[in-house]
Amino acid sequence: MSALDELRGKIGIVVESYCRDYPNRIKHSRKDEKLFRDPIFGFQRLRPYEVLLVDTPIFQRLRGIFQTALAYLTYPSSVHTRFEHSVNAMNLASRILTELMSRGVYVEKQEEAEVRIAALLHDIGHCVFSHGSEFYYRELPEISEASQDPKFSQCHPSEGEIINYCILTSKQFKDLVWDPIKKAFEGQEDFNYLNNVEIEQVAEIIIGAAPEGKANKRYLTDIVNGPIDVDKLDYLRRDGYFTGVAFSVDIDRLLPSLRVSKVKNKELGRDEQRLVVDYRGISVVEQLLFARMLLYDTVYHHHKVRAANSLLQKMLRAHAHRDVWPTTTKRLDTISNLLQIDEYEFFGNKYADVSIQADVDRLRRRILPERALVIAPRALCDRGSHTIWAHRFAQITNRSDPEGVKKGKKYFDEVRNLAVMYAREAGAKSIGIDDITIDIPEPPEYDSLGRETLIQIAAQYCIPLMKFFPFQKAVNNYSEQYKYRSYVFAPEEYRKHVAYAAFRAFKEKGIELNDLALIWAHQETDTKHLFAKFDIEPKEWTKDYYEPTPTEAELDIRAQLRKSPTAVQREIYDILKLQFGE
Amino acid sequence: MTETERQEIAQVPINDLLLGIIICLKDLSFGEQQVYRLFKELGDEAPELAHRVRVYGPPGELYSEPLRQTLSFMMMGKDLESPQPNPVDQYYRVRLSHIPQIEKNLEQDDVLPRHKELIVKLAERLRTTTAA
Repeated sequence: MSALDELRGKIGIVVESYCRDYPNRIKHSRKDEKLFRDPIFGFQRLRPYEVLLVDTPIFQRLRGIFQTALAYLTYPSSVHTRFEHSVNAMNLASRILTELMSRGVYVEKQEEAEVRIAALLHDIGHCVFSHGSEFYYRELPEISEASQDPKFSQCHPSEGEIINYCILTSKQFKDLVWDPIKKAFEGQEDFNYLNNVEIEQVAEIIIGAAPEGKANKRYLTDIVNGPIDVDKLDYLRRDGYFTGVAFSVDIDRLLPSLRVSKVKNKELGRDEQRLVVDYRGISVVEQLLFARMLLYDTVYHHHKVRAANSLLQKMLRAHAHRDVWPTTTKRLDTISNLLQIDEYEFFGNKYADVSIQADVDRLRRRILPERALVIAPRALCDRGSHTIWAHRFAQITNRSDPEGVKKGKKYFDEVRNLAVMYAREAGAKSIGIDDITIDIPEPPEYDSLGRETLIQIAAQYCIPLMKFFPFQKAVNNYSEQYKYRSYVFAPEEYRKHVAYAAFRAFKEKGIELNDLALIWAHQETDTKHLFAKFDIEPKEWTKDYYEPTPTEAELDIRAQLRKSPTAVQREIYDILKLQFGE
Repeated sequence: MTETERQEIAQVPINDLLLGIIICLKDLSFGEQQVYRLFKELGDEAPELAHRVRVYGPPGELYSEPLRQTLSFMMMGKDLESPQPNPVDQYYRVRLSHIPQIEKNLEQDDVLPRHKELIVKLAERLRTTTAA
């Protein structure tokens, strides 16, 4: 049995536990369409069979999975859930299909239904705490082995998408949910097309694979899993709205710019019909990029959001394997277990173990670790510090490379051990290694939007956005070099000691920080006496940071570039010349 | 690639391998696509490496998040310089003044001098690898 089949088998059992009685409920349901309001996108219209999908207990579970995990501890109104996001993703999918059809694209009834259902169910496999628990479950062998299945060799789905896939293609989902729903509409002329809707096709769309044997319908997949898909269109607007971060994503302008165009898939050596953006819609793609950057900067990588996540990480790593959780096995160390509870159950459960209950209470009452240090390139003193910083941070964040992670972890564990020793010396007598967290977020990635978004510059001439204008590279560089930060967190009572101790420990391990690391963590005044006591003086960030001067060689390249355009610039010029003349 | 080389590659972190290769290039500039292509070829020869580097896409439009991230960290750490204005297909070059410290880091990880022969060989492959 393959690792994928094995995982599907285990997840199927969870589906069964949720939906065992559902066929009986379907028999007695009203089978009406439903309308409900959404504060951002207005009315949502659900077809009767979609209502039945929404009513399944496994979908209703999404009401207890907050969209931005623990971000509501920092942005109090960010309590929107995967439930409303999923329903509106379907609404947006419909709007895109309507736009395309109004431009003469022929979409069969059953295909339209498959895309709507795929959009609706695209997040059905979110585990408790959504992306907040991803760091944990994606390291589990059951998912990393399943992700290597040949099935995924072309479409490279994320771990979360693989879980969705397993749910929808499980025998239990078919037997307990999909087949009974189809049966409920048998013989109704309006829903005849449901006979041809295959839940496996829906699952394929969700993982980003072109529907089997339908390269000419690849755009249907793009709507749900592509560079500009309904997931992004909804979550960017929704997260912005509910966190209160103001920005604009003009979806009403984007939708009329969407087209279907023939594009050569060089990897598979075939032509595909893809969802592309007319060049007049580029401004909205730019808005999407900046919206993403803003959300990363202000929400997802906010220090308090990271602090809450680091506490959750600590809890799961330390306690997931213990028999204390409200799941059938009493553990939280498998995908099946993580699918069994939502966040209400996580917080509502009474834990017999005192230390776990204490951690859960800390999360619920927002008793979060505090910043002791903020580490960013600008806070590094010299060449050696930069080189070691880049080396170790690259190792620890490259999660697909266990060898690198091992080496990176060893380095940061040594820093933490030294920091504990110095913190104790400085007066934090009872501090332990688990009290110090070095939080290193994976740098956000914006390149994919530029690489994958296809811009139609003239009929049948599409090029990736990054070749049209590489602004996403500039955003990536800007974001990484000026905004990317990592943190050293400690409990409030030890933050001063840890600020000093971690500062010294990093220095000893080759990374010398300047006082900006303390200033950004609001520790510069509180820690002065500790630094003085141990005769260490942090260097000043205004003077002591490392800025290499351009070398002769670099100046040479600049001069060369001014003289001759790059190959890609020439390519764009040739295309434009072909279309519009000299 | 020989069986010994495959075993060696399995032991070395990807970013250490890339760092080693890049310092061997000294003042030669190299493109992102060249790096992806080299690792794609290495992944084809050693499938266990393919999963670690995850190079996808057609020739000329290859992409690898792990490698891109490593290059980004090297940019952030100023180990690499990139010509300005930023061209569409980004070219990098190692800062010569950073090489001694990078070598020291690789020695600490027991990558140099242990795997020097392999790294020099891979650097030569990168030098002769074209983007497309």
